[in-house]
Amino acid sequence: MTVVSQTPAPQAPSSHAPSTRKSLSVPQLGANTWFVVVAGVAAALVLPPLVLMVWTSLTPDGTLTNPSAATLQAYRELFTSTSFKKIAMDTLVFTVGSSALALALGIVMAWFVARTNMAGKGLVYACVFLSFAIPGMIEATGWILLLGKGAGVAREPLERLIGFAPVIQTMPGIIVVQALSWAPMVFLLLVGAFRAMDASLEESALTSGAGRWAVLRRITGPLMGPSILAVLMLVVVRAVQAFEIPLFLGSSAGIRTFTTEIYSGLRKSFVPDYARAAAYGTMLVCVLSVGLYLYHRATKIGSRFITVTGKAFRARETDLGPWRWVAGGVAALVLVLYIAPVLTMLLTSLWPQMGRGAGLGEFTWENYEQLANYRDIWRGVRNSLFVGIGAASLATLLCLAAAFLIVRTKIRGRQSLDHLLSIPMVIPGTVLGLAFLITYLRVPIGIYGTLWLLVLAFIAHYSPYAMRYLQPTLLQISPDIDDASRVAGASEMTVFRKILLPLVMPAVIGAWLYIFFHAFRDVSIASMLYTAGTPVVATQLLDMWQDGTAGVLSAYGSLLSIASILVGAFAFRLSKRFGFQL
Amino acid sequence: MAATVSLLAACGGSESNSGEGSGAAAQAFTYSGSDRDAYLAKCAADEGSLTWYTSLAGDVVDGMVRKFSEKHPNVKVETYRGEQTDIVSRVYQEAQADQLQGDVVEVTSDGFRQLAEMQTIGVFSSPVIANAPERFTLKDDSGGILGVGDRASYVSFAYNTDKLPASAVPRTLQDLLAPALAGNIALTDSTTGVRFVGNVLQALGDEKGRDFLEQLAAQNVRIEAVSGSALAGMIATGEVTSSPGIFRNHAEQETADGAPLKWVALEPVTANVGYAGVFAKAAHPCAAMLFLDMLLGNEGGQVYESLEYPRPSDDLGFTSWVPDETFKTTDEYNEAFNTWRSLFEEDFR
Repeated sequence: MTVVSQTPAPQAPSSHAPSTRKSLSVPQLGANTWFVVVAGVAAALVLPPLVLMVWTSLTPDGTLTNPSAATLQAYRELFTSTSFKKIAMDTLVFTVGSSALALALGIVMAWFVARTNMAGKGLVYACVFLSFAIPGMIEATGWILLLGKGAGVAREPLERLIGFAPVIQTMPGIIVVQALSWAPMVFLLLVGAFRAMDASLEESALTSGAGRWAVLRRITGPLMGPSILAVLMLVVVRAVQAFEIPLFLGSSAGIRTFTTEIYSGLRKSFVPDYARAAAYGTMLVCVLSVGLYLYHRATKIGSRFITVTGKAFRARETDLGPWRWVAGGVAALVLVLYIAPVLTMLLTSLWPQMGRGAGLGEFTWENYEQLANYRDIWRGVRNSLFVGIGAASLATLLCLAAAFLIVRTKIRGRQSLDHLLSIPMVIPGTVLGLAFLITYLRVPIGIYGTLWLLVLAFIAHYSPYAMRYLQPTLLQISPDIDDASRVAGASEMTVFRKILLPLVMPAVIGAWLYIFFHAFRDVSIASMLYTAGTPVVATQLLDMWQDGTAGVLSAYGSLLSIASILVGAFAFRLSKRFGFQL
Repeated sequence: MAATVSLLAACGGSESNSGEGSGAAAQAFTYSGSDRDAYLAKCAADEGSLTWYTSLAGDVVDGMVRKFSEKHPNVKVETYRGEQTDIVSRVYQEAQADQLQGDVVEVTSDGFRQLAEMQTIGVFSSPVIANAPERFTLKDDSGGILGVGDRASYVSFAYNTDKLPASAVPRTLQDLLAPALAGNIALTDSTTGVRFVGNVLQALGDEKGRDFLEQLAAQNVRIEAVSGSALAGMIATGEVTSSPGIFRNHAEQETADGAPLKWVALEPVTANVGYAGVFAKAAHPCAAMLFLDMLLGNEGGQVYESLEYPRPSDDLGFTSWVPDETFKTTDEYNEAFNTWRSLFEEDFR
C-alpha cells in the first residue's frame, strides 16, 4: 500500500497573513457576530473545566455548594509527598525516552521514504496505518501476552534463539512500545517537509564536493531543524499526558507517571482527593504550557526556514545501492513489531492455552461466545460510533469556523480564539474528564448521563488538533482566489461553498478522521465520564482488563483490531484519492 | 459526611437515617400486599429498565443480569461496574448534584455503609430476607432495613502450581517472607491490596505488622493495577506466580476451568461481605426491588453458588475478618483505611 502524504511541514497557526492579503470582504457586522458566537462556544467548552480544576486545587475542603477559603495545601502536600520525586523522575525518564526514540524512528522513517530509493516504502506506510488503527489498550494487552514478565509466549523461544528475552513491563519496554505508537505521527508530520525541501541546496553542496554526511549535517539538518524541534515539542507534550501504556504496562514494573497517579489516586479511597488530582492537573498544565509555547515558537521559526517555492521540483532520492534492500528489511522488521502483539492477541483468543505447554493447545470459540453475551457489547459499539462521529463532526465544524475567522478576518483579538482552543491540549485527559464530570453534574442542561457529555469533552480535547489541520491549510489559500469570485458576482455563501470549501476539504476530512479515531479509542476521558447508560468501547475494554475477563478482552480486542484495520484501510484509500493527511 | 453510622448494625443499629426517596419509591420498596410479586412485575414492566451499581467482578455480573432478564425480559438492566471506591465516589458526586443514576446497588460492606451514611440508601422489605442473619443486616435508627449481606468473598493466598513448588507454599502470613517467594508475589493496588495491609496489622498487631510489611516489601512484591479477579487470571496464565490478595471464588472458577491454580487460607482470611440495597431516590423502584429480590433470594443464590460465592453466614472452615466490623463508625474506618493505604504506598510502591 502506498499513500501519498501531502503533510505540510508543521506550521504555526498564525494570523500573519501574506503581505498580499486583502482585507475581509464579508460584512464586518456579520463576521463580528460569528466571532462572538464561535468564541462563546469555545469559551463555554474550555473555560469552565479549566477554572474548576484550578479552583478545586485551591479549595481542598470545599465543595461547589459550600466553598472554603483558598489555600495551597494540596500543592504543599503534593510536592512534599515521599512519592513525588519518584513519580516526577519516572515521568521524566519516560517522557525523554519515548519522545527521543519516537522522534529518531520517525525522522529515519521520513527521511528514508522521502529522500531515498529504499525498497518497500509501502511497509513504512503499513506501520503508520496499523499504529493509527489499533487502540493503545489493545497494543498493550498484546504486548503483555507476547513479552509479559511471567507468561509472555515469545519469551521462551527468544531465550532459546538469541539467549535474551526482553520483558515488556520495564521502563525500556514501555518506552519502546510508546515510541512505536508515536513514531508514525512524527513520520507523517515530517515526511512532507522532507519532500518539500528544495533539493537544489543539497545537490549544489554535493556538486561542490561535500560528502553525504557533511550535507546531512550542514544542509539538511539546519533546514529541517526547526520543523523537527516543533515535532519534538508536540511529542513531549503528548508523552507527559500518555496514559494507557504507562497504566497497562508500567504498574507491574512499579512505574508511576503523573497521569496514572491522577487516575489511580482518584480510585483509592471512598472520598477521592480531588484537590490533589486537580493540583497535579494544574501543575501539568503549567509545565505543558511551556512546551506548547516552545512548539508555537519553533513552528514560527520553521515557517521562515522552510524553502517552499512556487517552482515545480522533485526532491532527489539518494541511491542506496544494495543497502536499499537492507532498509526495506529493517522496515519489514519494524512492521513485525506492530503486527506481533495483535496477532498474539488473536491467536490467544482462539487458542487460550497457547504458551502454557507444547503447541497451541485446544481451539475454541468460547471467548467469542462469551463476548456475544457480554453485557451491552453492541451498545458500546453504537455509543462509540455516535460519540466519534458527533465529536468529529462538531469539532471540525467549530474549528473550521474558528480558523476562517482567524485567517480571513481582521477582527481584533481573533488570535485569542486560537489560544482559547489550544488550552485543552495541555490538560491531561483524566483531569479534563474529571473537570467535565464535576461541571456538568451541576450545570442544569441535562447532559449528564447522556453521550453528549462525552461528545462535548472530546470536542474540547481534540479541537486543538483539528485547528492544526485546518488553520495552516486556510493560510495557504490566497484570498485573491475568493476575491476574484466575488468580483465575478458570487455571494459570500457561494464563495465559501464553491471556492473555499473544496480547497479546504482535504484538511476537513483529515481533521474529522483524526478526531473520530482518537475519540473512538480514548480511555482517559471516557473512563471518567461514562455511566451505566453510556458505556463505550474504550470503557468496556478497560472494564474487561480490570475485571479479569482476559479471554473476552482478547476476543473483543481482536475483532476491534480487524474492524479498525478495515476502516483504517478505507480511510487511507480516501487519503490517497483525495490527498489529505491523517 | 458529618453523621456517623454504626458499623456493628447487629449491636444497636445505625445512627444514620435512610435517604428520603419519593413516595412512589418508598411504596415499592416496602410494599407487602399479597399481590406484591404481580404489583412489582407490572410496575417494573412499565418502568422498562433499571440501573445496577456493583463492585462485583467477572462472570457473576453477566450471570446476574442474564438470570434477571430471563424472568423479566421487559426490564432492561444497565450496569455500572467498578471498584467500590469508584462507585461510592460516583454516587457521592451524583447525589450531591441530585442526579443519581442508580436504582439498586451491591458493594462490599465498607462501601455500602458509606453510601448509607450519605443517606442515599432506601429502607426496604422483602419476603426473601425473612431469615437474613442479624449480623449481616444493616438497619437505620428506626429498624428499617437498608442492606443485607448477599455474598462473601474470601481473600487469601493463591499460586500457580506449575510455577511454585509445594514446599514454598505458605501456611501462615509469616511464611510469605520465605526466600523462595522473593520476586514471586504480586498484589493488586485496588482496595483488596489495601485491605491486605489492614489484615496484617489486625492479625500481627500494629508494630509487628508494620515490621512484617517492610520485610514483605523487601521480597520485591509486584503491584498490578487490576482487580483481584484479573490478578487471579494472571496467576492462572502464569504471568504472576502468586498473591495473598486472591478471592477464593475466582480461584475456584479458574481451577474448575483447568487452570494450574490453588487457593490457600492464610488465617485470618479477609472477608469481603457484599451488601445489596436500593437507592432511596431510585427512578425505577419496582424494577430495583425485583432485582434486589433476585440478588438476595434463591435465584441470585444459585448464580452465586455456581460461581463459588458463599452466603456470608456459611462456614467454610477457616477464621475470617470483615474489615469494617472492627470499627464502630465509618469515620474510624476511613481513618484506618487511609493509614493502610499510606502504608501500602510507602512499602510497596
